[in-house]
Amino acid sequence: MLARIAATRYTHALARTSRFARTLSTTATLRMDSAGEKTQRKPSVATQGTVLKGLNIYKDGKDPVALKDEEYPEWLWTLLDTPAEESVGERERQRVQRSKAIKEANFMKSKKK
Amino acid sequence: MSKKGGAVAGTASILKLIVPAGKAMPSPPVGPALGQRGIKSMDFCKQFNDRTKDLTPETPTPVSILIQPNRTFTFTVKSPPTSWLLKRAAGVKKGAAQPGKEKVGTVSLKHVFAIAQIKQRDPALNHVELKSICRSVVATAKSVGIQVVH
Repeated sequence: MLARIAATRYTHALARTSRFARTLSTTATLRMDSAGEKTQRKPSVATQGTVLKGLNIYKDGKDPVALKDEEYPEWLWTLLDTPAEESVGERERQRVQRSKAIKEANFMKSKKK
Repeated sequence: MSKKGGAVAGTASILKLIVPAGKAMPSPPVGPALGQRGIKSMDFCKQFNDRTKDLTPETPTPVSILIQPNRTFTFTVKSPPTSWLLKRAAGVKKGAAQPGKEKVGTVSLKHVFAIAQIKQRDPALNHVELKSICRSVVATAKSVGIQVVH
């Protein structure tokens, strides 16, 4: 699982540079809802105003209070989703693309005249 | 470590400890570890307690002490362990004996978000995206047997 996370982070980083944006696929970022739907989102168990007990570490502080669901960033609700199934051969394709990109980058960095 | 006036220079060493905030003193965790490296534990404890005076007393606080060959030291105080924060949020004293197979507590995504905000104050995590920190917290929850719900 760690290797996959490392792989997706690497592909993200490369995808940001425009040079490689065309060549890398984005299936690595596809995520499915646990219910299989991408539009509906259930309300959180911790409703607005719930005191998040035990999370205050300062002497003169109070436990944080839960905000409305809408006030949290969108990506928070995707943290529990299971990743979409990869198509057959996707891993191999990404491996080949990645090693090609590394070789190109190394060549560009090298000081061969 | 290094002898005074010796030809070979000693190297700095790093000592990592987890000390209850505001309560550094007892022999077991702090005393021998520092004493072995030639540091007066009283000096460290005074400075540590001073730096952690804003924290709730007895919060386990990881601290990284850099000890120079001439026996001076500097230290960085870090955020409390994620597993400890999760157990507090879930209202649980001990983690699961068999994480993955048993669940000892539940925590919501909003708790995870609040915990990540605390962790982001750690010097090592200052420049890490909050989303990445949240993902680490979710993974830590899995390792202590705390279930994260929506």
